[in-house]
Amino acid sequence: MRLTFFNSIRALFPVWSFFDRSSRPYELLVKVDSTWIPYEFNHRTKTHHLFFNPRGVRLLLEQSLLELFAQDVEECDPAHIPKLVSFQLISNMAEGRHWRVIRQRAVVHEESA
Amino acid sequence: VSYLNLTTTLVSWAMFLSGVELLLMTRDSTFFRVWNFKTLEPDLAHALRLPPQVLKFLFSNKSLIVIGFIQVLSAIMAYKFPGPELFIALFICQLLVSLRCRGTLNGGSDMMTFVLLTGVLIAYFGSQKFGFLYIAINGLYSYIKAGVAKIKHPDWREGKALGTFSPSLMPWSKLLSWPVILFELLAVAVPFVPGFAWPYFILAMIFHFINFLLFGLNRFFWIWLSAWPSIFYLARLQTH
Repeated sequence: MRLTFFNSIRALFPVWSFFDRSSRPYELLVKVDSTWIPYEFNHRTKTHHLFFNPRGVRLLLEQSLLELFAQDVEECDPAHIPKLVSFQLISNMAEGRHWRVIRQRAVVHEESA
Repeated sequence: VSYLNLTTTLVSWAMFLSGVELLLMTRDSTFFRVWNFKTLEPDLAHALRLPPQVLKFLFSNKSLIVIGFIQVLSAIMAYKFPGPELFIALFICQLLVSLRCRGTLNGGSDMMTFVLLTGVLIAYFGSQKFGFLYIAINGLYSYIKAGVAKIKHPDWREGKALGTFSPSLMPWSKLLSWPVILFELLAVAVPFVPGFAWPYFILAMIFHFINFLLFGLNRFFWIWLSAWPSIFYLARLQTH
C-alpha cells in the first residue's frame, strides 16, 4: 500500500482513534541464519529521559512503523509485500539492529568454510 | 500569569525538548540507515504530489537536521518572546517532521502537539476563548476516549492488558487496570464538578509520570501538561 495524502497528515486531525486499537502490541521476529530473534522494543527508562529520550522516541517510532506495516500487509497482495516502503523500512530497521549479529555469523560461516 | 502565557511557555518548552531530542536521534548513525530519504521518497512523492526538487529540499536527510535546529531556535524564541509567527514556525516544523515519518513521529503526542499549536494560533488570530476550549475539549476527550476504549476491551476489564505491554507489569496488571480505567473516565466530571480540576490534574500528572517510567513516554508528559492551563480555563468558565 502506498502512503496516501490523508494518511501522511493524519496527526493534524485529533480523532484519538489509536486508543481503539488492540492493547496487544505486534511482535517482530528477525531471521538471522536459521534463528528467529525477537526485535526488542523495550528499553530501560532513566529519570533524565523525562527531558530527552531519543532512544525511547525512536523505539516508539519503530513500533508505529510496525503497526503501519501490519496494516499494509492486511491490505496488500503477498507478492507485493517486498515492494512496500514500510517493508523496506522494517528491513532496514532489522538489519540496523542485528547487523553485528549478522556480520559475526557471516565471519564465523566464512572461517568454517 | 495569564492562561495564554502559561500555555505558550509550556508548549515552547515541550517543542524545545522534542527538537533537541530529534537532533540527538539523528546523530545516531543507524537512524538514517532506516529513515533515509531515498527509501521514503517514493511514498512522499505519491502522497504529496510535489516535484522531486521540492521533496528533496523539504525531506532530505540534511533537511531533517535543519528542521530540528529551526524548531529548537523557534522554541527558545517563543519561550522568551511569544508571538504568532514563532508558533506558525513551530507548527510547520512539526508538520514536516510528521510528514517525513509517514504521518507521525510519536503517535498521540504529535496529535496533541498539533492541538496545542492550533489552539494557540486560534487564541492569537481569533478568540482566546475558542483557542482554550479547543485545547481543553481535546485534552479531556483524549482521557475519556482512552477510558472508553479500555472498558470495551476484555483484556483491560480482566486486568491482563498491562502485562501484554511488558511482562514485568504482569503482577500489577490486575491491580492497576480498573484504577486506570476509572481515572480516565472521571475526566468527564472535570468541567462540571467545582474544585475537581486540581485533584484530577495531580492524578493526571502522576498518571503521565508513571507512563513515562513504564513506557518511556516522555513527550506525552510535557505536551499533556501543556494542555492543562486550558482545562483549568474551561473548569473556571463552567463554575462561573
